[in-house]
Amino acid sequence: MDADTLALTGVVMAMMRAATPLIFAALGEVMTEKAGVLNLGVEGMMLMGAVAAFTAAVTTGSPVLGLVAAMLAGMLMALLFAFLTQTLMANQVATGLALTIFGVGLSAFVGRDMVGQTVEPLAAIQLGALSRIPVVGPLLFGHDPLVYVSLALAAAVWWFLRRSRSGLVVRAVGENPQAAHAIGYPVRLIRYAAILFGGAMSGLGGAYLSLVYTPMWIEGMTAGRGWIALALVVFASWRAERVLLGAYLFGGITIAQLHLQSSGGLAVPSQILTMLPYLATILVLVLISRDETRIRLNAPASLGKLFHPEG
Amino acid sequence: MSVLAGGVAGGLLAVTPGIVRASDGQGTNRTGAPCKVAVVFDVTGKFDKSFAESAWRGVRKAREHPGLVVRELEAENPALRLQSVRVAAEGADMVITVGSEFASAVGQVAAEFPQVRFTAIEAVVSGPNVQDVHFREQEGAFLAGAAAALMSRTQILGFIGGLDLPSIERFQGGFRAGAQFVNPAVSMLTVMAGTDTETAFRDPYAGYTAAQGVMDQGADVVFAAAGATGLGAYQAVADRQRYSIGVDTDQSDLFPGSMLTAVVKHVDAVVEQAALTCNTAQWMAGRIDLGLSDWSISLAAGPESRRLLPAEVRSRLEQIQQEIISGARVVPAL
Repeated sequence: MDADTLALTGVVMAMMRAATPLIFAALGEVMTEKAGVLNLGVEGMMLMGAVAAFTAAVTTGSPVLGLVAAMLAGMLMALLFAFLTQTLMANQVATGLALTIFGVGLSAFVGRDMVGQTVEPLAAIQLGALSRIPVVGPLLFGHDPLVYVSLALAAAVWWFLRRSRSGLVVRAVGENPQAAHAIGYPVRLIRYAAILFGGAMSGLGGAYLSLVYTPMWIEGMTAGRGWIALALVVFASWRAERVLLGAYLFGGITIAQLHLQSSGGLAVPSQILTMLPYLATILVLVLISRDETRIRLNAPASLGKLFHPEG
Repeated sequence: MSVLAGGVAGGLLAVTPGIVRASDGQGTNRTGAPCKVAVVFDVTGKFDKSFAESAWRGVRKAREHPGLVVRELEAENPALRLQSVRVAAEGADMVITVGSEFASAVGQVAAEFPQVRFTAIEAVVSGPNVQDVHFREQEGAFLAGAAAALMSRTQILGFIGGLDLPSIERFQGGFRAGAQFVNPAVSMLTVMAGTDTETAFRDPYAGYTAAQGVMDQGADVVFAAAGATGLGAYQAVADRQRYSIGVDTDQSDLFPGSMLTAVVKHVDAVVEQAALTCNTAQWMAGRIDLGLSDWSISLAAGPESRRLLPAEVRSRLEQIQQEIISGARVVPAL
C-alpha cells in the first residue's frame, strides 16, 4: 500500500469521525422536529453534554459513564426547554436561542476545574486481523465504537419514523397536533419525549468531542457544530438516511479543507469551503420550497407552532 | 545565561521584560490610593493553557502587589469587545487588553477616557494614552524551527496555525526560517485550522484533524500555534508517537515524551509589569516590541525538553539563541 492510499484512507476515516457528532445531534433534532418542536438549543445541549461527559470520565475513570452523563446532561437541558415551551407555552425560537446561550455560559462555569485535566480516551475497537486488511480494514473495522453507534442510530431512527406505529404517531403529532389530540394521543407527552431524545443525542454528540480522540474540555469546544447540525436537519429534509449523507458531506468538507491546505492543493480560501454546507442548506431550502408536495412530505406541518390541548 | 541550559527557569521573571522605561524603579506612586487595573480577555476566555492563560497568571501575580486592585473581564462574544473595554475603563486607572482583536475597541474607548492608561497586548493601536505591546514571535519560532529540523527524520515539518492573524504568521514565518537555516532541504506543511476568531482557537477537534493531515503527508515534527485548538494537534501527534512543539506556555507536562519544547511567550510577566506601572512614571505610550533579548520570548527548557532534545541539539540552539540576542542574526517578521 503506497503512501497516497494510506493518506487517502486517513482522510476518509477523518471524515467519518468529523461526521459522527453531527449525526448524533442532527438525528436527535430530526426526532424533535418531526414531533413539531423546533429546538435551536442544540449547541448549548452539546456543550453541556461535552462538559458532563468529561467531568464524569475524570471523576469515575470510566468513559462509558461519561457517555451516560452526557446523555443525562443533554436531557436535563432539553427538559428545561420542554417545560418552558410545552408546559409554559414559551416561544420555541426564543427559548431555543436562550438555551444555547445558557449552555455556553453554564458549561464554561461548571467546567472551570476541568480545563487541563486528562483522561483516557474511548478506545477504537480492535478486531485483530480484520482491522489490518489494507484500506478496507481500517475503514470498516478501525473506528471507535461511537461511529458504529451513530450508523446504527440512523438506521433505528429511520425505521422508527418510517416503519413503526409509534413513529407514525410522532409524525402525526408534528403534522397536526389537534387531530392527534382529538383521537386521544397525549400530544404534550409525546413532544416531551421527542425533545428529551433530542437532548440525549445532542449530549452524546458533545461527548464525542470531549471524550474521543481529543479527551479534554475547552470552553466552547463544540465550535458551532450545533448550528451545523440544525442546518443539516433542513438539508436532510427531516429524513434520517439523508442526515447520514449530509453529515458525511458537511463533515467531509471541513476535513477536505484541512487536508487540502496541508497538501498545498487549495486554490480557494478555506473560508469559502467552510461556507459550502450553509450554501448547500440554503439551496435545499429553495429547492424544497419550490414544490408544494415536497414541503408537505418532508417538513413537519406544525413545526415550531404552539399547541394548546384546550384549543 | 541560557534558557536551554535550564538555569534561569526560576529567575526569569526577575529579569524585567523591556516594557518599562529604564528609570528610578518602582514606588513612584502619584497618590497613596490603590491603583485600579482592569484586564479584559477575549472571547476564548482565560483557560486555554496558552496565551490567555499566561496573561491570567500575570493577573494573579499582579494581585499580590499591595497598592494594586486588579479586576478582570471577558468579552463573551466579538460584538461585546467594545462594550467590555468601555466597562473596564469606567472607574479604572489602567486597562490591559489581551489579544489582537481589541485594536478598534481600545482606539475608541481610549479617546473617551483620556485619563485612563491603556496597555493593549498584541493589538495594533495608538493614541496619547495607549501603549501597544507586541512580541517578536518569529525569534522564538526560529529556534523552534531549528529544533524541529534537527529532530526530524522525514525532513518534513508541520505547522498548525489557529487563524491567519499577524502573530500567527510571525510564528509560521520564523518556524520555517529556522528550520531551513539549519537544513535547507526541510519542507513545511501549513494548515490554518480555523476561519473565524470566535472558534479558531478553541476547537481541539479541528487541531487534531489538521495534525493528522500533515502527519499523513509525512510530517514528523509538528508545531501548533493555535491556542486550545493546538491541544488537539498535540494530542494527535502524541497518539502517533511523533514530536510536537507547544506555544505560549510550556505544555510539555500534558504530553510527556512527545512535546519537545514550546515557544513560550511571557505574557504573564508583561501583564504583571504593565500593572505595576499603573500609576508610576515608568508607563509610556507607544509601541513596544519584545523578543528573546528581553526574555519575553523563550524556548521552554523543562525536564522533558532536556530529556528529549540531545545535548548537541541543545548546544546548537543555544548558539543560535545567542546570535539572535546579540543582534548578529536578525529574524525577519515575515
